[in-house]
Amino acid sequence: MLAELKNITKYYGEKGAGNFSLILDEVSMAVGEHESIAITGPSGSGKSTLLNILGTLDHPSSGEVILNETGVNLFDENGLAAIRSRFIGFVFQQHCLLPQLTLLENILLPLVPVRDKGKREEAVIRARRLIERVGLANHSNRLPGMLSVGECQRAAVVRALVNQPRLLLADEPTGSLDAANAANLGQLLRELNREENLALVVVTHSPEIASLMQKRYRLAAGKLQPTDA
Amino acid sequence: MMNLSRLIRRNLWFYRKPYLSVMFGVMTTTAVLTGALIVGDSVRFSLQKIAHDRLGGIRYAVPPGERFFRQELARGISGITKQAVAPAVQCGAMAINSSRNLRINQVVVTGIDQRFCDFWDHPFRNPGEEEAIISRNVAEKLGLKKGDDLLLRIQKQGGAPPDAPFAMDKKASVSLRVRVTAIAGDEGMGRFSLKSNQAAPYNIFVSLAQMSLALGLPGFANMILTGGDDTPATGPANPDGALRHCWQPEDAGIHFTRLPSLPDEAIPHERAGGTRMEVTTSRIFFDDNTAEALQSVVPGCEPVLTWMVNSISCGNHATPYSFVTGVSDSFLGRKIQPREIIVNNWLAKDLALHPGDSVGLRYFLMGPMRSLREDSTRFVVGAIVPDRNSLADRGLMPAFPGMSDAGNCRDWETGAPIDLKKIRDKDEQYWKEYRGTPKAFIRLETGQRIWNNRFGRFTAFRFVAVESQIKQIRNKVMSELSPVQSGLTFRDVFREGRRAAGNGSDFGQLFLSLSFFIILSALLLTVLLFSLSAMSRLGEAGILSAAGFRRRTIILVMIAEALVVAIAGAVPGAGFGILFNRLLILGLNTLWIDAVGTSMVVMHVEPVSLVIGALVGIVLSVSAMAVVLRSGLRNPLSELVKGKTSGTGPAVSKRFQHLSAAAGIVFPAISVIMVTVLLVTRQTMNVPLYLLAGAMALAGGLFLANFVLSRTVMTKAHLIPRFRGLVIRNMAQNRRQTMAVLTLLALGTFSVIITGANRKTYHGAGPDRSSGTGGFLFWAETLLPIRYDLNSSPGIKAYSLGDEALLKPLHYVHLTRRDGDDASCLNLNQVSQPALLGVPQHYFDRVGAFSFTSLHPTANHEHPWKSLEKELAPGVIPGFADQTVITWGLGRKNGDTLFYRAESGKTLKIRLVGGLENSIFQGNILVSDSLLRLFYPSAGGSQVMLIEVPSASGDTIARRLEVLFRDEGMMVTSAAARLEAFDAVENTYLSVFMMLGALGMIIGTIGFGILILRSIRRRKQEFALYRALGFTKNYIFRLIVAEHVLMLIAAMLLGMVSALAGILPSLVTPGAVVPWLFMSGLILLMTVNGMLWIFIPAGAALKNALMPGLRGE
Repeated sequence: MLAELKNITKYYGEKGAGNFSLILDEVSMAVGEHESIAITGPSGSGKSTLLNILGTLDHPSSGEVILNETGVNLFDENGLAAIRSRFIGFVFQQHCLLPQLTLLENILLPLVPVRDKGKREEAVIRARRLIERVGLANHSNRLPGMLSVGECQRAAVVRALVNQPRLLLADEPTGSLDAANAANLGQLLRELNREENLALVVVTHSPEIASLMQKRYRLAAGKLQPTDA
Repeated sequence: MMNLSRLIRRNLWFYRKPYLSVMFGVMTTTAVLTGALIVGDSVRFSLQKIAHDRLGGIRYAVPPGERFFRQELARGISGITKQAVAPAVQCGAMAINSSRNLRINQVVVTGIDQRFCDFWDHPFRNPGEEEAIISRNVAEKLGLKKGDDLLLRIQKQGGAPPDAPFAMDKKASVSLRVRVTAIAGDEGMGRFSLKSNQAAPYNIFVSLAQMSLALGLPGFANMILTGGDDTPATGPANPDGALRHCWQPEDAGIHFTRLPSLPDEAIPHERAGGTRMEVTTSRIFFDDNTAEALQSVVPGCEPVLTWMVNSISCGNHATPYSFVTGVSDSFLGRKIQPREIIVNNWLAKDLALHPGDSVGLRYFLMGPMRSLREDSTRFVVGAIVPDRNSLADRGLMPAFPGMSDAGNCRDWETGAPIDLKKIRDKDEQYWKEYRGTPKAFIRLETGQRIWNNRFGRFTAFRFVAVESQIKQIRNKVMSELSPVQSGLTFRDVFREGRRAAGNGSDFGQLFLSLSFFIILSALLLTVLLFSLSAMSRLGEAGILSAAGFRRRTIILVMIAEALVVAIAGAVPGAGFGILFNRLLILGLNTLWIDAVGTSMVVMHVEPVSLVIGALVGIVLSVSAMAVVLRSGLRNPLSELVKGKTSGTGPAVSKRFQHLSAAAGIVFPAISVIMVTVLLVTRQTMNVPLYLLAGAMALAGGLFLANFVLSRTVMTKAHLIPRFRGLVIRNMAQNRRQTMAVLTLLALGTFSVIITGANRKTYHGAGPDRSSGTGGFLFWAETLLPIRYDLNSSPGIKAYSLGDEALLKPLHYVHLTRRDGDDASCLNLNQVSQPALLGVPQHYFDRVGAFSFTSLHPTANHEHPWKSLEKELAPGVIPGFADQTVITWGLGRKNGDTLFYRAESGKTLKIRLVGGLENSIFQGNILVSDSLLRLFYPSAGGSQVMLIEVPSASGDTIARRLEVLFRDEGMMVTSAAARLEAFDAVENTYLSVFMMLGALGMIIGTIGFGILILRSIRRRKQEFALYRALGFTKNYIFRLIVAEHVLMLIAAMLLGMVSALAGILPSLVTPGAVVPWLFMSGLILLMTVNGMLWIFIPAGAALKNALMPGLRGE
């Protein structure tokens, strides 16, 4: 398995106290190589929390996260950062492009912490290819403020892929897009999932996007259940 | 019901927390503004109070001078003006408490009676004989209390001018032993002074009768004081009119004496039946005004000029020490030729003279400082007259003190050396029989030519008048004369004092300038705090717009909120201004006492200052907040709804870029050119221009930074961003904030360094001729004038300097002082007649002493000192002063004229032709010594000396000189220390500025910290993204720190480099030492402070969860 969540529980506050809030209750999930998974559920059900835990951006209250057959609790903050840098790509609801950097610079931003020169050069070639692939070649030297939201979100996807991650996590990637752009982006993610040989986990409200994925789960009341549609 | 005011109220309440912090900013701005204004009120009020304390009920005064007049004059004036009038005698003195071996070399002793005491609200009992009332500062300095004894050595004044030919030079002082009966505080008469100065004089009051008796002038006074109300006295109440009405010849030092009658046959026919009268003056020589009045009023008035000659010789025979009189033809009743001499029988016999013989007259001519030059003239004997004749009598010899009352020739005490060996028995015999009867007569004009001197051209006038007309003649002469010509004129000291205090240094304005940086910082802080809340609320503007609000209404709502917050901050701010002022006043009375020279500054709050402070605070704050709103609401409201605050990012227009680039190049270039020109033209003291050059460099640097940042944003096509690139990009992205921080910190650094480096010290400045010390090691002042040139043999002999090996290499430069107001920065009052100092311009020119900041076009630019040597027009002489005195002390410029009253009563105009760099002369107007003596013949001796020492052995020499000239009350100060004392004022202002600047820096760095926090808060999403992309926390921390450290360093470097131009005057002023260590410490402190404000928020920010930032909520 590429990634695995075992009995993940996440709560806020103290057990038994008034402020206690259980978000994830003994959730387990496995992500295989090249797999595409959609997680749906009502607002506030803990979908993003689940994704953040899978992406090592958040810690579970209990349970185990295994990435590439290694438990992430063995790593410190810097180790986790290195894992994210090499292994995981993120796409958020908002594109989160830095307004001071050009599109290309934004895309190459994940390479800043990478020291391996060969890898950096490879990434640049890859970035150019991906920009071409998503139809932004003519915009690579523009600042994000000059582009549409859809274009920015596509660039954010490229940025997530530039380090050649094996796992792409997308948190409501179409949340801020109109229907046409959302459909395009969903399609793009799925295509890249196949073309780039990476696993894709998408948290979404959109049944259309979810329907594009191989597996679908629904998170409700802290429990994750597979769904057919 | 929802309406605008309700919306505003709800907004204010909901955002009360951020608004409270904005209120804090407004409060600080207002408190500083109001505090500064109240300092102005307080200093003005304190100066007015001091003026009241030093004058009591005195309204007009004839200030103390060398000339004495009858005390009775006061009664006469009082009778006419119906005001209280008090005569007094005032002289400089030394006060010695022998029991504790303590002394003060310069006290003011005033002889008073009860009339003087009554001028004060709580009058003391008039001091009786051998009693004294002393001011509190004298009591403190000499450790005296009631009942203690005190010795006074009082400078003797009155009578003949001290430098007048043949005037006696003994007994320059008189001693009085008194017992302290009371100690007068500031509100008593302890501060009494006619001079507009906030520094308290050392006052001692003794009995008027005893003091005038001790000076040998019983019944005389040299000062009159009158009471009155606040309105200018006119008509009979005008004291000058009353003075003119009742003054007598004695008040002008003129004496009408009846001469013994002559046998009838000796009297020319036309004068028969009259009384022979002689008019003499207690000043020996008549001034021109009196001489002209006598000659015009008295018909047949005969002027005479008698001189003592050292010898009258013919061949090998010589008669020593005789009096020769210059007379007119009518006096002798025959025509007398220019080279003719009429001798008496005694002389003819002594020298075996016959008509037609040639005789030689040798006589002394006296220059300044009793320098003597022996000159001679040859005459031809025209006639021989009997020893006792109708013309020659002993009365023709002026009443030379020390001579006319001597029993025999060997007892003569004159100002000229007498070789007693030359005096023969027959000379003694002549003296006994005829006293000073002239042995010869020459033509008056010849006498006036060969004995030309600055004191006068006549020693007596004689006339014959009918007895009944004598009184009429006296009155007529007095009506021809004006009391002004004898220095008798009332000054409206009350109004002068009020004006001087009112026009003095405006501390309100000064503290406003000194608080400039702190006000700016507080204002920027307000803006930052406001923008923190305003920017986060811009989305609301969009919502309001969607709800149908017009843009104007939206702005109105936000401005209204800002106004309420500003008012809520400004009102308590004005109150806190009083507290801030209390601190400043405390500082002025203690730490910064050098700036005001008195600890008497009391807080005084004018309500209008509070209102102005609050209003200005509100206007400034609201304007600043309006700028923030305007900038925030510039985008379309539709964008604001989406939360966008900057359409296409931080890109700036090409035009703005070009403007920034141009200003970034042109401003520093102008700065460099200015500094080069200033240095080449040696304008090292033109501090404002250097500061302007510094400010230009700073502004240029900021524009350049703006250009670089705006260009960085627009630069494209970079590949993988590097750490450095990210840092610069981030700074550029937040260009406005970056520029705000750069401006704030650069300005702070600039201010602190400028003030720190411009603090002046002059250790080791002594030997440099072009420095403010002129290369002189010591500045010496004496209470009693030094009569002789201490470099000359008579001087060395008179003061026994020949025995002192230590003092042999010393060279003394004597200066003549004419008392006046202190125009130095030590006096807060604005004065109009500063003290005059007569300087040897040729010597200064020869040695190249001192430096000039400015010269009038008419001055001699090659040899500036030579500009002083000649009168510019009759009654107009050139003068120099320190540039600071010209500009600040007097509020004048080169080419302006100062008006004085010469001793003759005529107006003396001094045209300012040059400004010196800061020098030891600060507070004085420098004129040519010879011209000063010409207009003030009574100025005798020297009370100020500059001393050159080839090899400095400092203190030993100074102490030895003080011991040697103890009786003259000498005080020797190192010239560098004197310069430092003047600079202490400037340094104190700089300290205040620096302290307020430092306070501003603290506020500035708080603003800096807030900016960092704000930036981190705003960029939370960005940092979360970094984390998601695999950046370590440490990397992000370094990124934040690097951005801000770069800002800090760039700002400090910019501030320091720009400040270099501003501190150049200090770097190039000879002898001035820049306190590098102090400065380095200051910079280090500022750096550490800045770093703290970077590291703490950056560290704290990363401790919080970043990830929610990615949800865009």
